Amino acid sequence: MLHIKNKELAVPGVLLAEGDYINEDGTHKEKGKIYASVVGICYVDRRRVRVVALEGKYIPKQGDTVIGTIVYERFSGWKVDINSPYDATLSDRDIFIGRYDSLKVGDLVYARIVKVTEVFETSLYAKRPYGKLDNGIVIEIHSSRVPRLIGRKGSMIKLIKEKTGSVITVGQNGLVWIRGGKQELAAQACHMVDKEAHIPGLTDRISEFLSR
Amino acid sequence: MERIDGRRFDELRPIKIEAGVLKRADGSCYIEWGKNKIYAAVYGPKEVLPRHLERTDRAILRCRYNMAPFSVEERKRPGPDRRAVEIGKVMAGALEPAILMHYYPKSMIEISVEVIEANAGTRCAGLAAASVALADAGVPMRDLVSSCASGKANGEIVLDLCKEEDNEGEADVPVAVIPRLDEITLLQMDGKLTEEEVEQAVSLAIKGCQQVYELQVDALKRKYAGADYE
Repeated sequence: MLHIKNKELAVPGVLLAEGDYINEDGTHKEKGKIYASVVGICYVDRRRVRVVALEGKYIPKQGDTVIGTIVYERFSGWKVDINSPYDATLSDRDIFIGRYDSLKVGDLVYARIVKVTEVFETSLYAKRPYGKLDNGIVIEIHSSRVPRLIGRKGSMIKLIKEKTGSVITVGQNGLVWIRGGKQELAAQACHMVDKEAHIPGLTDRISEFLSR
Repeated sequence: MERIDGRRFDELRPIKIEAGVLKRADGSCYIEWGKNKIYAAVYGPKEVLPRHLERTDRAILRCRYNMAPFSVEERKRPGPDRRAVEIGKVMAGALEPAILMHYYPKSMIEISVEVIEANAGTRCAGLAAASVALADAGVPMRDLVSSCASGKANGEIVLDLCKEEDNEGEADVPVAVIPRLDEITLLQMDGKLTEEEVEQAVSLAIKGCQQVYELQVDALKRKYAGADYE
């Protein structure tokens, strides 16, 4: 039996469903009943129930593409801060570095998460099309708002790219790298998406903001 | 019998809760409970410092309770004292059963409760605020923790003592519960009560907690009113 409507706001401890339902992200099951464990929007897809969190830290997931900062150098790799409670490891085998280039503490990399263990030891892969990010600026948005920034089939990010002429790379961990064109304007637009993600009619407002 | 501020025996002081008030914290909450004014901030999950406290199977919770020097009538010497350390510890103990700690191994969640103005019942108000701040930080929880005190003043068991009742009264019983699981996570008592009076006080406090719970849920829902995704 379902106790909540699709797209309804859930707070921790709210009973979502009982009986023959499968609990996914943002929920937990106790004695056959499914409860929300975070504040978020509840989605019901047939028998699957999940809550998309509105707040919270990014947790590394296999297959995600992220932007990270090198924080520590080791013999054969680097520790990378991926804007999460857990650092990731990047082995020097998993990145292409040109002959006159190097990777130092503070540098940015765009990488894919290849493996996450149960204690969140995370490994990255940064060969093509991933790699080091030179110049540009990095801004932070909330990781759950990333799908909103990309938009349906990349519509939102395409809009921002076109209007500002910048090169934009979005990491699933909420870091956005912007280079060239009207950097500041693009950054402001990204922050606007972050702030107003929950208010309908976002694409129109961003479009209006960018053509101002 | 009339209480000093004209409340009924089972009536709470007016409570106002607001979630997400501090920009730099991951989650925050401001609560006005009668004349109490308290901020709660949550940081994390983040990497554990000092490192030796790290648990490989779950997160750890640290809670700091602090009273501002100007929060009471006579200036309080700033800094942690015996009472603040104790309250911090019991608050951490009261919140931990509600948090799904095993979701974030090797990490730490830090809670800071700052009492700006105190007027009896600060640990309960702080606890209510801290649990809203945790939810606001996106920390996965079984349920919110609600908290409320009861006690004995003028020979009668009453809910939510105010400062005058607390100072002059016979006993004070702060209680925290996880409403959904019907579990008590904090139960303290100072003063003298008979066995029946304790039971009476606890059940009265639990009823108070349920009222607080409604307000906590309302505060969280208010922050995201009209939220609509994809």
